This record gives sequence, C-alpha cells and structure tokens, in this order.
Amino acid sequence: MINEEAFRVLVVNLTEGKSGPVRFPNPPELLGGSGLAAGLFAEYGIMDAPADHPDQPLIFAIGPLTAYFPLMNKVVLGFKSPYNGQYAESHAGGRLGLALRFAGYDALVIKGVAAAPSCLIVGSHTIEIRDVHYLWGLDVLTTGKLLRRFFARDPGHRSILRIGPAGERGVAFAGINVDSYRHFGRLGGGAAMGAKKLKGIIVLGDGSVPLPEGKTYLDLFKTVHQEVTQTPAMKKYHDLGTPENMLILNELHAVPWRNLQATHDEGVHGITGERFAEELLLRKTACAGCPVGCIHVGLLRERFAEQNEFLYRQVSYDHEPIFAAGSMLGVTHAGEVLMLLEEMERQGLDVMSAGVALAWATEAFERGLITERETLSPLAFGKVENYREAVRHLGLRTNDFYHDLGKGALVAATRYGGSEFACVLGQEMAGYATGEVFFASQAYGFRHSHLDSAGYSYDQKPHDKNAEEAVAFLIEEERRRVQLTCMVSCLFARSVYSEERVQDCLASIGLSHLAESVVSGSRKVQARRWNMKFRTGYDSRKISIPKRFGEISTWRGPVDTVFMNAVAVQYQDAITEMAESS
Amino acid sequence: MSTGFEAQLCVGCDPAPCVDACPTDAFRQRKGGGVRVKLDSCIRCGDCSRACPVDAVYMDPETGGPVACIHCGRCVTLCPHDCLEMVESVAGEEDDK
Repeated sequence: MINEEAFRVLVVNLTEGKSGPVRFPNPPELLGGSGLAAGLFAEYGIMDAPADHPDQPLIFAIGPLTAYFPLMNKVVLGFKSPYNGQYAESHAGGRLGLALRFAGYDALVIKGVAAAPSCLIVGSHTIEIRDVHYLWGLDVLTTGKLLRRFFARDPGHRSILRIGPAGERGVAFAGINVDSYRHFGRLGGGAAMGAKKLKGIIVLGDGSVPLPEGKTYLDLFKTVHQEVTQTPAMKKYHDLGTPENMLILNELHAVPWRNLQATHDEGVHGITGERFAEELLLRKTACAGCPVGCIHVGLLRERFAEQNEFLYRQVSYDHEPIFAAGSMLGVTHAGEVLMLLEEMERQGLDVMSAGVALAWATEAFERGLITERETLSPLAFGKVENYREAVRHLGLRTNDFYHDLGKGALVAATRYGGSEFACVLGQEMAGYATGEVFFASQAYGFRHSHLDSAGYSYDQKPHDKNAEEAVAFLIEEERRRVQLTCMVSCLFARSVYSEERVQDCLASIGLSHLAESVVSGSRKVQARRWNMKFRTGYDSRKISIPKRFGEISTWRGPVDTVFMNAVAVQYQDAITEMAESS
Repeated sequence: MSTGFEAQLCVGCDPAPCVDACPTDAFRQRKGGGVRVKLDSCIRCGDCSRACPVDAVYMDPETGGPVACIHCGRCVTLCPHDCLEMVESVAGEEDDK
C-alpha cells in the first residue's frame, strides 16, 4: 500500500548501469499518476534541453488506487516529447500497472543512455540492464516473441514493453507496445525510448501487496465491481467495443474520410464495429485488474502463396485505429484495415499519426505536390498494398521524404506544400469530426488528445455556441480527468468513479489525507502540468487550426469558424492563466 | 498445438555471447554476425548454450557437443513456406571492405 509520507520510486541510470529506490515526497500534493509523473519530471527532467538529451527521464507512474480497485490499473508515461519537444503524457494499460505495484514501486524513472541496445528488467528483487543488441532492428512482434523467453516462469505477472524500428530510428510518433495489445501510442514515447538505446522493458510483478483489514474495503470493492460490470456504459465497451462509434458518427457526418475531405461515406458498412464482430472478432481480452474486457482482437488471415497457403495473426482494433487505417485512408474492408494495423504495429508506429500522415501524403500526391520519387509507392485512397509499403518506409525512414513525414504531417507539409489540408491539431487528429469545440480542444489541449477534455462530447450535446461556456466545460472536464489519471483510472470508468467515490476508495485503504486533498490536489496537478508544458516550449500562438477543419460539414451544418476561433482564443487565455497560477 | 518441432533460429549476434562464453575458442566470431565452430577444440562444457540469448545452441545429448547454426544457408531452399532468407549483413560488408 502506498505511504502518505512518500512515494517509492526506482531511479535507473542506463549510462552508469546503476539504479536505486528513492523516497519521493508529498503524495497529498501530487496524488499519483499524472501528478507524480509531473512532480518527477520537475525533479529529474531538463526543461530547456531537447527530448533526446541523454539525461531526460522516461517516467512510468501508477496511482494510489492501482491494484486495489477495478479499472484503476493504467500507467502514466511522463516524458519530453520528440514530436513537439514539450513535456508530455501518454497512457497505457496491459499488465504494466499491476506489475509495477507488485514489483513494489509507485514509479519508475529511467535516465541516461545504455552503451548497447538493452532491455531493462525490474522486479521486487531484480534490477538488470541486459544487453540485447541482437534484437536491435527487429520488429515489434519478433521482439515480443524473443522477450517472452525472459523470465518465462510466471508470465501472467509480467509486463513486456518494446519498441520497433520506428522507435530506434527516432520517428517522432513512434509508440511503445505494451503486452502486445496496448500502447503508449502518442507523442513519440517510442522514439524517447529508442534514444536511450532501450529496446525493451520487463516488469516482474513478483512481490506481494497487503490488503486493508476490515469490512469497509471489501464492501466498497464489491459495490464498485458490481457497478463496473453492470452499467450500460461498460457493456458498450465489452460488446462491440469502441468501434461501435463508427456507424453512429458516420450517421452524424462526423467521421473523417479520405484526409477529412468528407465526414460521411456509405463505405462505412465495410468497417463498422458490427462488421468487425461478425467477420473478424476472434476473442476479447482485458488489462490486468479489469473485469470489463474492452480489448477486441481480430483474426487477420492472409493468403501468402499458391495452394491455399494462409497465415494468421491476432490484431487488436478500436475506433481510433479503424479511423486511422480505414476511413482516413479510404480503406473500407475490415480485413484490409487489420492488415495495415498489423504493419504499423510491426514498425512500432502510433497508428493514429501514421494513418493521418499518410492521408495527407495521399492528397499531396493526388495534387502533384509530391511524386512517386518521394513516396516510392503510388499512394491512392483505398489502395491497401501501396499503403502497406508506405508504412514500412515510414518506419524505416527510407528516404528524405519519409524522414520528414516521420516528424509529422505538418513538418512535411511545410517543406512540400499542402499545410492547409494537413489534419494536424497539435498532433495528427483523432477520429472525431464533431466540430468546433473538439477541433479547438485537440489543437490547444495538454496531450493534444481527444481524451484530454471531451470536446467531441460537448460538440454532440445541445449548446448555443457560447465560447465562454464551452471553455469552462473543457477546463473543468480536464480537471475531473486529471483527478482520475492521478489514481490511475481507465477513463472508460469515469461514470463509476465520481469525485465522492474516489474519495471513499482512498479512505477505504487508509489514505484519508489523499482523500481530503483529491479536489484541490487535482487542480494543482492540472496547473502544474500546464506550467511544465509552457516551460518546455508550448506557445499557443504558434498553433493554428488548418483550413481543412473549417471546410467541412457535420450534422449541424458547416463548421462555424467564428465560433471555433472564439473557443480557441478563450481556451488559450484560460490555459495561460492556469499555467501562471502554478 | 501451436507447433511441432520448432527450429531455434540463430539471430547472428555481433558480438556473439556464445563466443565470449567459450573457454577454448571453439566458437569464433564470424564477420557480420554469427559464429564459426571448430568442434575439435570443444570440451563439451555447454557454456555456449547457456550464453545464447535465443536458445539457438543445442547440446546434442548423444555426442554432448554443441549444434549451432553457421549460416551456411542450406535450409533456406528447403523451407516450404519461404520463412527463411539469406540477406547480406551491412556490418559484414563493412568488415570485408
């Protein structure tokens, strides 16, 4: 159980090959997760040095409720983003949260650069930096296969992180694969890991965790467990999963199609959640400590030779990957979407950024801004084999063009033209063309993620285009979410974990000081994160919303650019005020 | 059943841990990765097998000696599914220059 006096953090120095547990102060102020990662970055990060500076830390933080309550087992990665050079967060699940708790740490801080490509192995009685130079250059799937041979005795308590060629080569949106089906996807965590010559991380959850005595905790656990498994909201995540959104959003004219040239297309019927379930769903699985099971794994069956020779692979899918490798690229066959996702997985690319970057490249190719000399493959919407080849080039940074594209679609557009149709909102867009508030919130938001503040949800509710109200919603929703990502809750459980419920959970495991400071603490963490983002180079004046976002229509009609700009301006003011308050 | 007999493929380490582990120089580094093996010098200690990170050095229970891939490439043409291919190693090219 965590101690209210101090966090227990393992600090690993890859350059020196030395590590040690440290006591890191002030849980009531930092809470855990997002707050702990921000606190650790303030201590160990270098604000004005680049993301690939050897001493920049990679920070994996869990929260005070990790391992004690259902869906409280995600992990926050705090790092300086190779994509934008700013302090960033990325979140993932898998077995990592539980493994860290059972290894005995609230956070893992990794500094320095290993002398040779290495795998860091951490357990309750283990710290090892193992030379794995023979894995450098191998794709994510092969690397996983070989890393699973390490500590094979107790695989269910072990978490395995690894990067692919994209992370090794510094692609700015390379991700980190966690336990095969989950990812620290966005903002370049994979490149940050690659810069440390860290091919893999294995966390062994081989210790034990004491449970509180008495009935209070047990009763509360039972209540939460029942709510989590019985609420209709969670049923949706288990049933069709997030791909359920595809059909609904398409009806609303809110799905980005072919580089956001349209928001609705009848081709959706080939890539709906229903179609995936009927044709390709093989099984569902869950992060450790989650009784819901939202991970949908599809069967990719591919003919590779004459005489009916087939190979098969298991590829996880969700709404965002289907948008990025499907609608955004005009790919309307579910099996082909899985094929592209598998290739992106192999290379270790964030699928959202990879898909959106290739969508920009396709339109630029069609308009003659770039030719096959740059793309090496004749890009065309819907042509999956050409995209598959392009994904390999993107991961391997084959030529100057793919090198630039690997820094982001907007960077490539600055060189080749077409920035007005680069669908970049702080980073490549998420799969919601819901309108003004979402576009502004992703462009200026902390993680540039649809999960920051639910702007897409605000767009879908009745409202009278009042920018002040919209911004107030975004700021308070962000605080509520920060409160959860300090614990560290899966955001799918946000309806179950109200403020009061989180406080009850903390009190039930003996953390009454933390329970009392949840609201004030989350507000401080929210401001502290913004402060750090500003100190590492965030400048909202340099961000603009590309013209394409103002050219589309949703179910409400054409996007209202006046309202969108008003939200953007007021949101920037509110963010700046928060950052200055910390 | 996930598979039957499974070939444990040598990934051609450079430097190869089995060479480092070998007390007699029976295992020597091959340019561009992998090893050359001289069984005459082998004392059957098994250190090479234990050192291999991908379990690709097999200790023959009959002879007691190591069986290791020397990258001769004969298996490539025999694989019915084209799982295997011989590729030039960049490191090897550099070493040979």
